[in-house]
Amino acid sequence: MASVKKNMTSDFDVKIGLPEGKSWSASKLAAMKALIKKEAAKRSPERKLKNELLGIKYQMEEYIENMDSIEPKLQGIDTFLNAYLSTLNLQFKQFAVFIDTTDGNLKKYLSGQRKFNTDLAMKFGCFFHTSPDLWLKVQLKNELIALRREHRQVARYKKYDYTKVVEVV
Amino acid sequence: MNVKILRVKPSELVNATIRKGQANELPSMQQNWRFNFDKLNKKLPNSTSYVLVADEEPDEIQGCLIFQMKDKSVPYMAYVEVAPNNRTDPKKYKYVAGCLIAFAYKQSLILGKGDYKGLLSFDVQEENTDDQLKLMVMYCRDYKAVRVDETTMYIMDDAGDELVEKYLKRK
Repeated sequence: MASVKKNMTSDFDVKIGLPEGKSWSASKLAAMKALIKKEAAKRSPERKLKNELLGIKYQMEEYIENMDSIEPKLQGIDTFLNAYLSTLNLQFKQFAVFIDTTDGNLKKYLSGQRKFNTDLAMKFGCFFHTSPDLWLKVQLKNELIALRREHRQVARYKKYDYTKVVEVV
Repeated sequence: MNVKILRVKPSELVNATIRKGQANELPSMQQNWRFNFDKLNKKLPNSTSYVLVADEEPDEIQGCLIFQMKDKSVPYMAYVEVAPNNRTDPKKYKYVAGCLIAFAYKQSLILGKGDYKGLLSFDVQEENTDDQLKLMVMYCRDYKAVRVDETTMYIMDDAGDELVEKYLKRK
């Protein structure tokens, strides 16, 4: 009895997985898919939307935090913005108006012609119910990726060196 | 991703990282783990291995997870195990399993599509039926998992959100 009680304390001995060599049969997979569809049908429209929006937010967080890849695939702010707009069934032009700008102007920020700034990050954050930091961090991550790429061409930048212009006595 | 786990002695929350596991570092039964993560990682299609390491000992794996998209659509927590030193009494670190399970749920939201988004399934199988039942009861209680049949369970929506909040956003 004592050992049962001990096992019932939190953070017990977790072990998840089937023994090696065992896996779901085709009929089990089909049954699970049917069960998942049945459970999904019980979700409210709000919950479905919440899951879609959380999925995008977590994707952004993962993109920012992912240090595993040496050559990460660049994902611009527009990638995540388009995902949000498509989930919310909104047109780019409509969104631009909702945040007090024009589509032409907003495109300039997203293409890098103008610098994505804190004002836009605040607007994006409030509109999509995310932290404004998230949008700025995506921007920063992309700048760091670009910087890393430039590092490989460091020879081109060797001429910029204070020792070539300042005489140290 | 950055998480917090509890070092038991001296008791203190410490920084830890969940990252993709490299093939040559994945634990095996030879190191007293119960699963051969190194072999399983190669065998399972559409799967990714993750390891949890404490930042104070980055070379020691404290927990391991294999997340799989079963049939390319069903988010599935194929394997989770904590390191042998986190099974003993006293454990070295706590919250390792919770962090990995919450992380797997997060993956179900990122990679799942449509109805499959936000539902994480997994299997529990022990040699002894009583142990099997006890474990399933504990997964129901601690992770709000729902039992499907003798081995399969799932975590979805609000229960998953709670896990993310509790284990991945701990300050």
